[in-house]
Amino acid sequence: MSEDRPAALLPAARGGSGLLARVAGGEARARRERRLVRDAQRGSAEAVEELFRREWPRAYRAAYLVVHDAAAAEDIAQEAFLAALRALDRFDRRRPFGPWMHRIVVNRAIDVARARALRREVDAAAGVTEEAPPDEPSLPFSDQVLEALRELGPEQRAVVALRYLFDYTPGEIARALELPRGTVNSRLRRALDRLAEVLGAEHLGGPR
Amino acid sequence: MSRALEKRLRSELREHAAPGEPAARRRSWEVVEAALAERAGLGEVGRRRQRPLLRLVLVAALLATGLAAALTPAGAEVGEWIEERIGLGPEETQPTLRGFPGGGRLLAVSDSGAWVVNPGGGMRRLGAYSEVGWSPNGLFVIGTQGHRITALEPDGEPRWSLARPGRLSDPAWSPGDGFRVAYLERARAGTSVRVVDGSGRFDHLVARRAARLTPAWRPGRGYVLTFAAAGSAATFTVDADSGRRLWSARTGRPPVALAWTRNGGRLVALLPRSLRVYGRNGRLLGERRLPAGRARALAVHPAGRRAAVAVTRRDVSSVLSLRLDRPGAAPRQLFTGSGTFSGLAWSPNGRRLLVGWPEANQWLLVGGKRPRAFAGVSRQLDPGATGAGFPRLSGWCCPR
Repeated sequence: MSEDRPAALLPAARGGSGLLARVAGGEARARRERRLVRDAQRGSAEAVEELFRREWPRAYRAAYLVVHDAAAAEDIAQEAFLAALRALDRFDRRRPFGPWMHRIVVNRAIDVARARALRREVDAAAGVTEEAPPDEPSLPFSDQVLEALRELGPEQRAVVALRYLFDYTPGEIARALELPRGTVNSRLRRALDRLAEVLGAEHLGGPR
Repeated sequence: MSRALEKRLRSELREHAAPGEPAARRRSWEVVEAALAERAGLGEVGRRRQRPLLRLVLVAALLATGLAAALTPAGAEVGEWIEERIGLGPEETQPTLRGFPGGGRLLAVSDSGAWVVNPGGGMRRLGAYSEVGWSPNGLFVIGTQGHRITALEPDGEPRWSLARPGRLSDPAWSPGDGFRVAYLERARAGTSVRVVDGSGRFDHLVARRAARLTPAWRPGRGYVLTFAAAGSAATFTVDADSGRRLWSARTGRPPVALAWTRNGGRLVALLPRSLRVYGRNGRLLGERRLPAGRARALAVHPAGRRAAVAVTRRDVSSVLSLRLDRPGAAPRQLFTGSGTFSGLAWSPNGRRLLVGWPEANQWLLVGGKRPRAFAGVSRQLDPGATGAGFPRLSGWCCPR
C-alpha cells in the first residue's frame, strides 16, 4: 500500500520550509516534530503519544469533513496513524510527518466516500451506533456549517479540508491529491460559491 | 469568494471538534497503545516469525546427522522423527480419509492450519489460518489468522489480504454473488463487525459491540447481515453497506450460533437451551426447548426445512434434527455418543451430516444406512501433532 511508504511523501515545499512552516506553525515546531519522530523511532511511547495528540484530531476532522460519518472517520484516522506507526522505522526524518498523514487521510476518505456513493448509502451508522457510549461533551462544528458542507461532493469537501483545516495552498493541495492545479482552484471556487449560497449572505461580511 | 466565509471556515474547522471526536480519540488511542505494546515487545508475532528460521536450522542439523544415522536402526528412528517433526511425511502427499464421499469439498482447521478435504480423501493444506469459510460457490476460501484476513484459491494461493489492528476472526462470505465478506475484529474497545468487498476493497465498519459469534448473511437481495450483540441477549440485522439497522430481536439468552436458511426466509438462533426461529423481518415464528443439556453446534439443512443441533449433557452428546417449518415439533435424535461433539456440517446435497467427535478422534458421517466413521482425524490433518487439538469442521461446499 502506498500509505506504508514514507518515501512517497508530499513534495518538500519550495524553499525547504514553506509548507511545513505554514502547516506546523514555524520552523521551531518543525524541529520539535522531527525530534518527536526521532524519539518515536527509538521506541519512546511518550513521543508517539505526543504525535498522536498533535496529529490525530486534525486527521479525524479532515476524514469527517469528507465522509460525514463518525465511525468511518474514526477508522480512517486510526488506520492512517497506525500506518505511520508501522512505517516509523523507515521514515525519513527530514520530511514532514504531518503532511504525509494528511495526504493518507484525505485520499482514503475520498475513496470511502466514493465507494459509499456507489452503494447509495443514505443512512450511515444509524441504528448500530445506538448502543455506543455517549460522546464526551465538546464544542462541535456548528450544524449550519456541517449542513452546508454536506451539500458538497467528497472531492470538494477534501479540498476545503486541506485548505481551511490544514492551511495548504492550492499548489500543495494539487500535489497531495495528484490533481492539476486548475482543477483544485475550480473545485475550491465552486465549493466556496456553494457554501456562500447555503450559509447565506448575512454570514459572509463584505466582498473579498 | 468572501474573506469572511474563509475566516469562518478556518475558525470553525480548526477550533471546534467534529461530531464523535472525543470518544473516537479515546478509542483510537487505546488501539494505538496496543499496537505500540506489540511493536515494543514483538510478542506472538515476533515469535512466530522466528519459526521458519528455527525450522531451517532444525532441518540443516538433522540433515547433517542424517548420513551417519541412515544405516542404523537408530537412524531410521531419527528419520521418522524428522518426518513427524517437520511434516514431510507421507501424510502430506498421500490421500488420506480414504473414501470420503463426493459431492463437494470439506474445509477444516487443525492446529497445523486450514485444510481442504477432497472427495476420495485427498487433502491439501491451505496455510496457517485459524478460521476459514467457503465463498458461495466454493471458488475461493476466506481465512483469518491474527491481524489478517485473506481470500485464497482452494489450492492455497492468496488472492488478496487485509490487515487490521485488532485480532480478526469469524470470516463469512456473503451468499449469492459473493460480493461481500463479513468478519469480526477484536480490540481493547470491544469486538466490531466489519465488511469488505469480495475483491478485498472498501473495508468498513458495520457495527461495534458485537459478540464473538460468526455473523450470518441473509440470502436474497442486498447485503443483509445478522450478528449478536455483546453483553446483551439480542441480535441485530443490518444493511451491511450502510450499517443501517433493519430490525433487532431479543433472544433471552446470548446465542450459541446464528444461521439463515438458504432462501433467506428464516433466521435460526441456537440458544444454550433452545432453538428460536425468526421470520425474514424479525418476527418470532417459534421456539423449541432442547432436551436437558447445553447446545454446542448448529447446521441448517441446505433445503432449509430442518436443522441439526448438537447438545451435550454430563459428558454425553446427542445430535438432534429439528423442523424449522414447524418449530414446535419434537426433535428427532440422530446419534448419541460420549464426550462433546465439536462441529456439524451437512453434505452439499443434504443427504448426510458430518459430526466432529474429538473424544473418538473421528468424523462421523450420519445419514446413510449406517453411520460411517473416519478415524484418526487429528493426526491426518495435523501430521506430527501432539494430539492436543481436534480439527474443526468449517464448511462442506459445492459439487463441481
